[in-house]
Amino acid sequence: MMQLFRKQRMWRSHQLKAAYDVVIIGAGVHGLGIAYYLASRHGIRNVAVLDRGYLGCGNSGRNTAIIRSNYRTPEGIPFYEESVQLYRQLSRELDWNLLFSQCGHLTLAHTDSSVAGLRVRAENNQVLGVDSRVIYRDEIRRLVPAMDLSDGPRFPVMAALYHPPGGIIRHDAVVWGYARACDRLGVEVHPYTEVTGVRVARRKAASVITSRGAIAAGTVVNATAGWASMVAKLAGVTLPIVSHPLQACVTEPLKPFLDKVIVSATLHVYVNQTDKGELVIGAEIDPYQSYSLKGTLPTLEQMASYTLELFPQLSGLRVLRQWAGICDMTPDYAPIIGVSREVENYYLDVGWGTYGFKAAPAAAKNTAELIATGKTPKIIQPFSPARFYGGQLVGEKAAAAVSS
Amino acid sequence: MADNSDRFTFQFDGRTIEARSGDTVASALYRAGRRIFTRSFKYHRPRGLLCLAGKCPNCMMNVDGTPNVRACITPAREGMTVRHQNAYPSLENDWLSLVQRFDRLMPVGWYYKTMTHQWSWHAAESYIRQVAGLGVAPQPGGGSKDYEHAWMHAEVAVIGGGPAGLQAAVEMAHDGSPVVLIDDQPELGGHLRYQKRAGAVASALVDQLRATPSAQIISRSYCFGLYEGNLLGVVQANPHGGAIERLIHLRAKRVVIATGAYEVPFTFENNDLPGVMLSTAVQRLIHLHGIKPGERAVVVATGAPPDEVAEDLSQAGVELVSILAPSEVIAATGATHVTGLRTKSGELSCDLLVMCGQRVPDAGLLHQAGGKLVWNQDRGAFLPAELPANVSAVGEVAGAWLARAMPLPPERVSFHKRSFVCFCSDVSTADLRDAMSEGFDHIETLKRYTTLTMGPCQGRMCQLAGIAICAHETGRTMTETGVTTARPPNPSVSLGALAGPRHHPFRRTPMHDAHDQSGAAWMDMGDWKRPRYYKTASCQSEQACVEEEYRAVRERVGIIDVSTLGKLDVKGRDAGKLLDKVYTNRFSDLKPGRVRYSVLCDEAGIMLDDGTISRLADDHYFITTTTGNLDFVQQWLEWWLVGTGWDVHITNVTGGRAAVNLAGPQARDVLHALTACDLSSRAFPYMACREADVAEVPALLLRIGFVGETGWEIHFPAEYGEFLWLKLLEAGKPFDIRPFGVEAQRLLRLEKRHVIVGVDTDALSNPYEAGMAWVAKLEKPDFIGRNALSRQAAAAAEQRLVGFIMNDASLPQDGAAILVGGALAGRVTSARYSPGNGKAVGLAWVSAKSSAAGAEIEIRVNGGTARARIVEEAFYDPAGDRLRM
Repeated sequence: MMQLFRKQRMWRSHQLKAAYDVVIIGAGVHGLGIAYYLASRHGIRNVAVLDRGYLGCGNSGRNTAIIRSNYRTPEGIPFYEESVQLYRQLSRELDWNLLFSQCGHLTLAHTDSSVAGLRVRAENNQVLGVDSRVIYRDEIRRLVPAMDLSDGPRFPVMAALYHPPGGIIRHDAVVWGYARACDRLGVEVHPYTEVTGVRVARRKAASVITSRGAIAAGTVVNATAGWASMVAKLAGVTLPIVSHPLQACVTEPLKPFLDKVIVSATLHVYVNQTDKGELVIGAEIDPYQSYSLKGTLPTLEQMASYTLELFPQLSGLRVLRQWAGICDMTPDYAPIIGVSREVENYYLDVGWGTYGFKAAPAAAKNTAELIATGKTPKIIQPFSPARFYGGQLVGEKAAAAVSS
Repeated sequence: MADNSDRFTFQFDGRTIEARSGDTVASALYRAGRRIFTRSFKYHRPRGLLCLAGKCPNCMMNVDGTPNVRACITPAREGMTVRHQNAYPSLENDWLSLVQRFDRLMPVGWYYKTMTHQWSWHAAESYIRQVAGLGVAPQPGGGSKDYEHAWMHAEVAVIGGGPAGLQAAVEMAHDGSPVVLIDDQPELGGHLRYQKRAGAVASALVDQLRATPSAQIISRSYCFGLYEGNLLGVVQANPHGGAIERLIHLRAKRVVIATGAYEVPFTFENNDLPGVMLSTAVQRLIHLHGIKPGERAVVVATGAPPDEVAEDLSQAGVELVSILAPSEVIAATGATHVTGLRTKSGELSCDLLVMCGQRVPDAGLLHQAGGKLVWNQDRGAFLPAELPANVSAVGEVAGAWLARAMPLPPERVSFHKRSFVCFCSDVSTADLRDAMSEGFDHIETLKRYTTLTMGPCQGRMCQLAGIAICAHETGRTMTETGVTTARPPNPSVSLGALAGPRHHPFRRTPMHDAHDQSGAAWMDMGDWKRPRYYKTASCQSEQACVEEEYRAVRERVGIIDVSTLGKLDVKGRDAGKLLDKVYTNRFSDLKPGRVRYSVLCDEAGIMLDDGTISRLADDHYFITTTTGNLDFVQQWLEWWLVGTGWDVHITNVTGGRAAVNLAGPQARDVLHALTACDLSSRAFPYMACREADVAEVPALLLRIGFVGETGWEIHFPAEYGEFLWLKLLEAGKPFDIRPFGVEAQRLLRLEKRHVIVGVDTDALSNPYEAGMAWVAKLEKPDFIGRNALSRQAAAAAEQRLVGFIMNDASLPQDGAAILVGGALAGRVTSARYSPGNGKAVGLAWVSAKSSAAGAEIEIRVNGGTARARIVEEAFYDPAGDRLRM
């Protein structure tokens, strides 16, 4: 509270040192999070976090900030649940309000088969202790009175997976909160420091070449998103990743009328109203691979069209901005966390597809533990890069498609 | 003697307002004496007209139920209902304006620094939400679909109908090239319409353009986006009485951007008071609407423009108190309207403060196009330095006629909590300074932390001032500070216009009406409507109807419309080779006249689709796909065909062919009555196909058995769909034939343990774990997924798709969890009550170690658990004798 009237810099600028114990590429929620947990939990503070742009300029600032743990697989559920729990205490821990609002999350089903799909998730969630259940129109109407629940739409809403602990957070605040905490623990944060190469000798990364000079590194961590496979290539590490844009848009503010996160896989759209009153609308990933951050008109039209299927009264509401993020998709839609096969001190926390933001605290905490102890925590074992060589895919594909 | 013929009225907050033709909502209200038009987002400060050009957030109102409408660019119409927004109880007296007394408790980013306990934020959030937002969302049940989409092509598109745009359009169209000019005003001419000194030039250009046959003018339309490949998003307001807006997708070979420039305010204390206006707004009031904007005016300006403005003011009868440089101004004074000005040389009294502000190029489209904008110190603007091919800029947007109105970055900034930079979110100069001192000193982080440029004006009013202050505080140049990224849509665009008429078509099979007459209860399957079951006089519930349909098929004969199956005709010398490559089963050795089932896997061995493939001739196959996967399968086949040079032609014949499945012990008798084809098992065995006439309709008959009885899938031209359907029903009458729906079909196939790909399998399922090892022919030299499948064939399965039968009378739902020893061990994919077994049966994924035949599992049913036994064989006719009868 007292910080309200104290003007303190969130993080300081530094000259690059000649060497760090750990160099983390990517100053988004994952990279900053790893640095924070390395410093706060394991006492490893000689750490540099590099980014080619400003802090959080990548997917950390482009996602739609939805937090949930109602996944489908026994591997995914506990992992995302840990993330929700970490997020719950993070405002307190960082002394920085992340505006985490556990307003509740509804995944809609418009067909028989999607109702069955939701039921699988509800069942698995319940068995594993996550609050989620299938509800039908009457209860949906009570929770979301503004939504069209009539038989009028082409695909009327039949049921929903209701996940009360799910919600929305202020994504930039997470970046800033981690960055400030890193700075106070002695970690150096270096925005506008682009990594252009990694020098590898005898299967070990020796130094990282940046736009501001070379730095020696004991350990290198790739915590990038969007271009993770290209960054990995700088160290000779090949990743089974293809990158697709995912688009979103935001409208002008309205007085509050929607206090739940609404997701519809059938309609390829998700919608929530921020505390400011804007509607944030997200789409499915674009069907083609691209690194373009420009939005496209057809996708914007689709987001509008499907939003109006749910909320036809909003036809006069105006869209202010559309944008895109680049999603690194793996063959099984699950992330890659662990040491690379090619370079023994090169760690990966990448391949997060459309759900890297909500996973950040759990991913960062466990990756930090892996780096500090050399042992892979059980909860991230399924996401090891080795699974692609043994055919052990995880398979969030079935559940994760649109449900960002 | 006033001519009143152009007068009409509308309602504002319950009062009647008189308007004149040509009025906007704002001009009519201003003439009627209204000065406060809205209240600000955060502090609920009174706000009045500022730009009168739709660029600022100061006049947003509710018009006929639509929130956030800019009153200054909305034409007044007879009978419209206008209401204020974001003020309670009224614009003059807004209780929430109390908030600004506590502004010291709300420095920039205050919400990040307080309420860090989850409970305290949880408690506070709902109150914060209540006071946020602007307009009120319309009630559910409203909304309009009266929006249109249109498509256009042009050689050249010119955006902006001011002098530069007009000139460009005239020149481009000179040689007969098709040119489209987009202008957002009711009349062409741009700023010449209200800056009267050069007015004649515009009308001459307009006349010239109108006389050019190859030029097309689209007025009252704005371009909101310049997308890849010169695709322009253009919104036309009220294209005709039946449409609110029309979105034109305009593809142009060349785009000329002539969007001009707009004026932005100075920053000083209370620069947001009603009565503090931009000079162009004052000129618009005077020249476009014939309104005297005030009584006593002070003009704040540098350089030449004040002469023209002063002349306009005096002609309008406004007393000019003084002309001052911006550096002289300390603060505007007044409670809800400007009453005076505090300057370095003393106090002035006035009711109108005219700011001849910096003109800023309206460069959003240039930025979107990927143009590089570079700071130009003389012009005081970011100007296009590099533009993509086929995009150019002319006029003020390119820097012509622009001059710097003040030093940039400024020598001195008046940092004050009431000196506003961002009018949308009440961000002041002091807020910007505070944010920068906390380390948010890059323009992109400054934007995100303070929300500068993120409001409804999309940064138009605040971006330049924000960059200037950031440069001033950090000691960087304007160039080093840079601009934030501009994204479409710019200007903003309604969801309705983007969505268009929202036709979401559905597909009906040729027998749709016949099903309706038979009492079909419909369900959606992809785009299609399919009968789920048929309501008849003899059954009351879905369950009873389904059971009747089930019994008809098992005991007599049933018929189901399967026209929704995807149908691909594959011809060519190398057709078999392609199918061998893409499907897991082998087709090159299939004999003509035979049918074979297969699945299709991706490179990871995951089953993506299944279907039957019939060989009609050496070079001719017929594929069926599942209803929802047709497009995918066609694309997949074509994808793998690319670059092979093989002779294969794939034709989608789904819409052209209807199909039914006639099944049951008496199916042969029914079909026999309509065809000369020898249907005996010797002549027409199981998994064979024949081309034959049925009721004189040329048809392809496949003897296959998804539901587990003797039966034929009959494919025939769609135009005979209803005819043949009715013929078959008629021929089946002596055998008490029943049409059956998707539900009965699912039950029938479940008893046979036939898997539905996509229902019983998901994005993780390979054929081995699904118990379908036989479908993968690993001895083929290569096919898609072979590598992964070979590995899976050798590896121990992690999970298996098994059949189960309940121990008691309970019926699990599809999706129910399976427990072994209390731990999650799988899930039910399909479960139905099986009349043949007197209990529910089903398919389930179970972890391999718990999946032995005869093993017991627990299934979650109604919150509790019920026990079931794993069964290896089909639940009905395990030997398949009935299929071959």
